[in-house]
Amino acid sequence: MHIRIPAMPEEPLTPNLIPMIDVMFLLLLFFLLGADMAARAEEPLRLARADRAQELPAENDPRFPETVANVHHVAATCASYDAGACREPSHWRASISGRAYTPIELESELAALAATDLAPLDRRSVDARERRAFSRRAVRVRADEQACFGDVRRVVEACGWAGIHRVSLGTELPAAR
Amino acid sequence: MAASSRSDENPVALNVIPMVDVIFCLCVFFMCSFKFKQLEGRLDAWMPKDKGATGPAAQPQELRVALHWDEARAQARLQFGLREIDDARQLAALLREAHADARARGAEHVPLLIDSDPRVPWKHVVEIVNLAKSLQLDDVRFGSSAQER
Repeated sequence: MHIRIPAMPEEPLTPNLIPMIDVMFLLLLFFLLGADMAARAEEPLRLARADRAQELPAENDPRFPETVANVHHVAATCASYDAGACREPSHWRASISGRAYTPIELESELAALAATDLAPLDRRSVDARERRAFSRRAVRVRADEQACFGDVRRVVEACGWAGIHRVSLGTELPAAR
Repeated sequence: MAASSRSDENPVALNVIPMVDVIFCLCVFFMCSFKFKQLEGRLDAWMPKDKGATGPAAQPQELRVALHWDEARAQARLQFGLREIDDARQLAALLREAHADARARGAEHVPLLIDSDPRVPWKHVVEIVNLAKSLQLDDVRFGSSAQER
């Protein structure tokens, strides 16, 4: 017996791209939303680890606007940094919002920032020595774990001279708390 | 009405290949610029508000930790009082003991002074501040640069 199978109409063999496009759109969306395109207040650096540090709040308290001051290593290649102790002063910078400052410039920049957020004049917020109001502004000092203590202390002291007394030290939290 | 998927019935065919190319490029770009955020924390500190206002205050009994920088060996040395310290655990035990001792002698407020060489890496200072937090020593002070001068 001979069975005749009807010939199928010929269709071009093309891959179905629609699911692939869907997946790629999802990937694109994921990376797009995860990308950080904002102006960098936080320089990429290796923070010192402290398990007793508080986790940073998701949003800053609007009453106490925060400035991030970074003390970071700027040399592109440095064998001493890779070895764990770069003490070359020219390799270190103090910066705010991506702009590097000398110690004197840093002090005047912090003073200008502090002046924009002065606390109401009351007895507790006035520097008795210089009769000036303290600022509500907070400064978080993010320093590389290898930064010289002297450089970090200079930033903290500049905050004090600028009338900023809310200072916190940026640290890395252990991954598992 | 069921839509037909046959291309000969759809006169306006969409060429998706260029779109796939562009999406691929965008994906690669964002993938390369993607960075996982480091989990950050902060150790709160408060600058003194009233220094100099009341004249020289009575020197409180303080716990003093000194950090020296050994240039030749490129490492920091810890000292508590006159005693050289080998590691943080030993320092923790000594601090705990000294703090309890000071409290037993009636000192309510015992500050911890970190007197460090300016060249000492910051991580060693943070380690001591962290240790002080764990021992509930809330008043941690840094030796100022004015003292060095």
